Amino acid sequence: MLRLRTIFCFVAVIAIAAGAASLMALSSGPQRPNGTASSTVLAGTVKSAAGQVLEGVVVSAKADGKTITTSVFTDDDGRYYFPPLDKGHYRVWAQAVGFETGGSEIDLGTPEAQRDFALKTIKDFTRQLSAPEWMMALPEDTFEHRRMKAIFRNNCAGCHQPNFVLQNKFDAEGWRNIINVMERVGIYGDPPRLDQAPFPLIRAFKDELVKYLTEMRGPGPSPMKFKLLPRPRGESARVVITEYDVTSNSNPKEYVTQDGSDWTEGVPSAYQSRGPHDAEVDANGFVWIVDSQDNPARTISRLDPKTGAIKDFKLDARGARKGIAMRSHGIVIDHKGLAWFNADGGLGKMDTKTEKLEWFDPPSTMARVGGTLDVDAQGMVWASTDEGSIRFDPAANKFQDFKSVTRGNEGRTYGVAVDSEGNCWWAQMNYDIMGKSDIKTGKSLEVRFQPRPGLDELATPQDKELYAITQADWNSAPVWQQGPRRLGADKKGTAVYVANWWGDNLAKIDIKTNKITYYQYPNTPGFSGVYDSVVDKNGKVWVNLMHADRVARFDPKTETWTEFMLPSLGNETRFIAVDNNKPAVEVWTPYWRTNRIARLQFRTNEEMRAIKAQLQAQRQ
Amino acid sequence: MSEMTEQKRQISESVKSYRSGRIRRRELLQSIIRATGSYAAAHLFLETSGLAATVISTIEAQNANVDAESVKYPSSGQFEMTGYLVKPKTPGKRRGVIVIHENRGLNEHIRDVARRFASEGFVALAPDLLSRLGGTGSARKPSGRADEADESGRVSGDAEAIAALPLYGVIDDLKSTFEFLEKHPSVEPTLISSVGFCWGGWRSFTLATAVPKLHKAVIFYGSSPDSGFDKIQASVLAHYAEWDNRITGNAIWTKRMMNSAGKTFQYYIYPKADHAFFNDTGNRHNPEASKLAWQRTLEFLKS
Repeated sequence: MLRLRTIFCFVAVIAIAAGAASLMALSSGPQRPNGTASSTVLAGTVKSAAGQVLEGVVVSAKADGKTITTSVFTDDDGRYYFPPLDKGHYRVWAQAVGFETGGSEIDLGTPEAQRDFALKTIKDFTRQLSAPEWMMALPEDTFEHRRMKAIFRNNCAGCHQPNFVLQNKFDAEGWRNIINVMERVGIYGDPPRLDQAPFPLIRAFKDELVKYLTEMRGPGPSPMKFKLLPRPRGESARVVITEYDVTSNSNPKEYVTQDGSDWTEGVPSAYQSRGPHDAEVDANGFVWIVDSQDNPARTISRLDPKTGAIKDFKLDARGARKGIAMRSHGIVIDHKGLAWFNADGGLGKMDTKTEKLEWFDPPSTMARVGGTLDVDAQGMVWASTDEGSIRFDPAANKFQDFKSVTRGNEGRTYGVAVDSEGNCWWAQMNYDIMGKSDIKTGKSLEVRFQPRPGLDELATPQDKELYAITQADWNSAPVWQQGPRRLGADKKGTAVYVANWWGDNLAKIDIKTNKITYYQYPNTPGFSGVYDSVVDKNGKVWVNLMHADRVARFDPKTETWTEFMLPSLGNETRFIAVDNNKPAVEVWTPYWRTNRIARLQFRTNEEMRAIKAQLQAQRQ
Repeated sequence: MSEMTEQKRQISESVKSYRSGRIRRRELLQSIIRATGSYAAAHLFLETSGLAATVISTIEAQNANVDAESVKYPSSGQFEMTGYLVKPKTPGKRRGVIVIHENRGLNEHIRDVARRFASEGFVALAPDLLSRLGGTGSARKPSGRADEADESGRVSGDAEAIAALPLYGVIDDLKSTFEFLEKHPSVEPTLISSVGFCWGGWRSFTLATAVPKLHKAVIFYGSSPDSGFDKIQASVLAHYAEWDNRITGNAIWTKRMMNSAGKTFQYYIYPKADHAFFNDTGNRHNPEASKLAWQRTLEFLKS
């Protein structure tokens, strides 16, 4: 059930900016980390109950009646520093795996702005674990354990996180009942039908999966051994993450209550409102979010990050779906401030300045507009289709399609990105192939990924016979599948970066030579869930790790990764966006499962010093 | 000229060409698909205008040298089923075959398949499994365009009506169809088989679990039942497409189940073929695979 909450979306609080002579109308959101001094800096120390300083602990604060949660991490001294927050009554809590959630309340705006936590250890911390920690705990001591782990990984963690599965225990009958549903349930949770073919790999491995899951997470003793990942330090602990609750897509007064913000509750499993899939930020700072679930009110919505207010816009569905909103998935904003998104097989357009909505239907001779989009330097809009990609010329109001060289009903495209030469690349996830348009000739090309190395050894002859005819589906695949899901292009360089889902790597393709370099995600072994990638204005590549509940930055020059942990568990991020309009790049990632969206802002050491100075002044 | 008038003119021209023999059935259907904008709309037009039943069926039956008629028979004690019955002109008891349509209802493509069976010496009956909802074409109008599922897998038109049919109510209707054929004077009652396409594939296989007297069952790119294999007496043949992961991928599991139950199951996978490859009025038609699958089907049913 959803809990009703009161929202004060447009209440402006007048506050006297500390050290400033003028009055400022402030909203309820947090201030930029290096913004003008205002409101209150909340700070404190986190230690264990035994008195040990704890670094990398996430501390979150949420004001009463508000929909915005701000989180920071403790530094090596166990100290945390929030950016200036508006005055109000806040709930503040601190979390680290292995410890009970530390909770407190505080009135900001009063001289007091200090909250220290002493966290008690917790005996059973399994519900707090991230997916990679669960995956690492699955034993690899025997061939059968390695084989079944690989089968579980590629068949039970495509639509949701592996910890969603493993956090609970069932006996063999329970696991079988679950798999009976899972082998047929649609990717949107559509009810299974008996005349619908089950996912072939899940059906074929069902008996073995029941046995395996009962051994790992059944009533008896389990061979799983847990090892915790290190907590964030350094730059990763300086990040400020702001999580916005998005209103339910069926009731604008409701929010999801099981939102993953308390790790001891485990991965959210209730089917509450979900659907914020992709989101982009316009030049005015508004965030445009598209919704992927059937609902009566929302195709696209606008978030005001200053207030947290959500405004819904609906394109009415046609035909039998009449009465509900057209369903979307992907969005891109062009240089004119026009947001382009897919909607029920057509192309939606939102003028972010005038809020005018339009919808374009491709000719019947072409495939329908799919769920991922990009724009090129000429303002052409590209989108995926079942058969490859489609380009829309807004000036001429004309579509042009490009068909995959290797086609087939199950070779449907997922991600697209347009490179610096104006060619579109599309991911044929089920075939481990990247399609590429050649805009000079109007033809299509393709580049193939190599299978994941070493996985062939984990398939028995019977498995290989099965894999030969089943091949891969969206969320169920042979063990050696790479699974190119989404991608981002360096608009100023010569590379596209492909998020290989099953491969758990980032593949860099040189657009001149088609040379592929694979960068395995190193920090969370097991299954991080490399889902999407985007290149920022500085040439850095950002990926969201759906399973790990993390975001990572890859520097192509140094070939190094920096990881940022999200403050909530079980978010299921499926998209990552960069806000290049800000002087310092900000990163956004929607939480599809829990109906929220997060912004990451990165504080420098200098900014930290400024905050500490403000805190000092505040105390005097 | 308005769009509607132009559409009528195009269709009228095509029908004239077809009547005079200048174009063939497939070309006529393609022309109507072009004029109406989609596969679903074209078949709706054919059914509701009467063109399919009165013109195409008559001409094609003559061309195929078979007798075709619309038949009605009861089902489940409360529904009246409509079917398209085709048989050779020569007298005598024949093998019977139930032709089970796709999730588009009984359309001109399925009638054509029934005529082809009759040309090969079978008495073919293609039931309209939308009968209990009013019949193909009148059950519900197509609401979308194209013959494709949308991105969510939802389909339009008659397919929506078909999705509302009770799973096992349809099997009851097929049992009634079997009984109708069983009593038909031109049919050898011990040699009645079923052939199902796509949506009809699961029904052809499931009918074998429900009617032990069924002689043989053929499945074109259809899913398999979860259980009931031990009740099957018919030999089963399945045609799968390489590019049909979800259905084709279950072939090995199905074979294992049939073998465990001591039943006969043979399947073929057609390379570079897509789901619905046999439908020569659809955009996934694969002539080479269709020809081979048809030949194998006839050999299987006649053996």
